[in-house]
This record gives sequence, structure tokens and C-alpha cells, in this order.
Amino acid sequence: MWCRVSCCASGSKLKAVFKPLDPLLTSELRLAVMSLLIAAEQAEFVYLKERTGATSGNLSVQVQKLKSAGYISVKKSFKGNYPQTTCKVTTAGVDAFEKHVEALESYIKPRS
Amino acid sequence: MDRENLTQEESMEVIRQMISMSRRKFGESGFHFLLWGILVIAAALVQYFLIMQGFGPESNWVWVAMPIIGVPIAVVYEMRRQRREQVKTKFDNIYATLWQGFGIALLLIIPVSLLMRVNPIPFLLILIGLATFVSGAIVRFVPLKVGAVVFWITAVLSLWLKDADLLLAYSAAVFLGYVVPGLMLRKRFKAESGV
Repeated sequence: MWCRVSCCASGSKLKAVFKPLDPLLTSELRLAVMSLLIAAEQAEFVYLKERTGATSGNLSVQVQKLKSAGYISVKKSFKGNYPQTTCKVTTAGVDAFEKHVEALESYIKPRS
Repeated sequence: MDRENLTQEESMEVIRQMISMSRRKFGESGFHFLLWGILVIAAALVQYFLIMQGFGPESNWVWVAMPIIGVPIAVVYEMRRQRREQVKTKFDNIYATLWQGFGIALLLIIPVSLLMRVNPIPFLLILIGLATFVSGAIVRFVPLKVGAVVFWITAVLSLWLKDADLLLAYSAAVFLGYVVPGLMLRKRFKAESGV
């Protein structure tokens, strides 16, 4: 969905077109997790924790939110004797991420 | 990392940082190229020796030993590697699928060629060349592509070679196409992983 915003600069009227941001991806940790999964496709919880520097508790909460939105799938299994959580970006997640990046670009480089 | 409502610039910076952090070289250690390269060369040379000693078609059984030795080693290695890996990229999946498809094609070419009473080696060389060429593109490693070309040239040359000489040509092709790139990949892998 597009929204049209008018703004004035140095007396001249500029029209810029902005796209709405995805509220789920305006959180730093959720955006970081999505970025990592977009780059890797599939990663273990431990890998996400190491790369983001987040605590297990906080990361679990954010991963759950992304899962509830259908942006990622979470699979629990065992690696040897240890439990393993693997996160994978879904097609809906890829679409949402791409739209979010497009929206960010529209703010940074507004179309005239 | 628990800020909410990032600005547009902050968001772009988080994306850039994370993608840059997860960018890694394709972790191909060259293990499988070395394993199968050495086994194929060993089998070809043993069969060549047997033919020189006067053995006939029964010398073909030497090839049966190759998967018996190679498959368990390859499976154990892969299981251990996957246990270590924390992340899987699209390239990992494509690479694995390529070699799975290669394995199936290999299992089909050998019996089909034998039933048609033709030597399977030239067809195997063409198939190995294809899989090696695509692997070279996936892992971004030119020596593998060069190795693939060696396989294809050997496949054409094999039209003029007799069975025993074909085994020597096969060994040389596998040495240049698998063992040499495998050693180079191993060196690159060790340098990248700081081993």
C-alpha cells in the first residue's frame, strides 16, 4: 500500500511517496534475526544468539513473534544428546522482508 | 540489541551488518574430491595391473570394492560435518542435491552401459565433468572447472584408447580433475578456517 506525503523544502513543494514499514521488523533484534535468516536460509538458535549477542530469553520471545507472524518456521530436534532449535525463513517471511526493505529505501531515497 | 522503533537508517545498518556477518566462504574442504579421487585411481590402477597379469573381465570386480570402502567413510564424514554446522545456505542445498543427482545418474549409467555392451567409462567421465563443472561454479573455484574440462577431453580421447590404456587415462584425469583441485580446496579451507 502506498501513501503520498507532501513536504516543503526551501519554499518548493516536494512530493514524496513512502511505503508503510512492517511494524514487526522495526525491532532491532527481530530485524537482525530476519536478516541473518535471509542470508543463510536456515540457522540454529545458537548461531542466531552468537551473531546477535542477544540473551536466550529475549531471542526466544522475538523468534516466537516471527514464528506467529508466519515469517519463520521453527523446528526442534536433537543433535546427539542435545536439543537443537533450527529456524528457517518462510516464503511469507522473504516477501515481508523484501517489502520492508523497499519501504526503508523509499524513506531514505524518497521518489519525487 | 533490543531497540524498538529503529529509524530507517538504523534499520538499514542492522541489515547490512547482519548480512555481512553471515557472509561466509563456501566451506568446501575438498574431502570428497580427495576420497573419491584416491579410490578411483587405486581401483583403476589395480585393474590395470590385473589386466597386465592376464586377468579378463573378472578384474572389473575391483570397482565393487570402491563404494564398499568409500560410502561408509563419506557417510561418517558428512554426519560429523553436519553436526558441526550451525547454518545452512541455499548453496549447501544446491550442492548436496547436485551430488545426490550425480550418484543416482552414476548408478543408472553403469548397468545401462553394461547391458548395452558398451564401456561405461567415457559416459562416466562426461557425467563427472558436468558435476565437477557445476561444483566449481557453486564453490567459486576455477581449478574444479579446469578439472571438469580435463574429464571431458579424456572422454573424447577414450574413443581412441584400448581398455587397459583407458584405465591409465582415467587415473590421470581423476588425478588432475579431483585430487589436484581437492588438495587446493583443502589448502583454501584450512587457510579460511584458520586450522
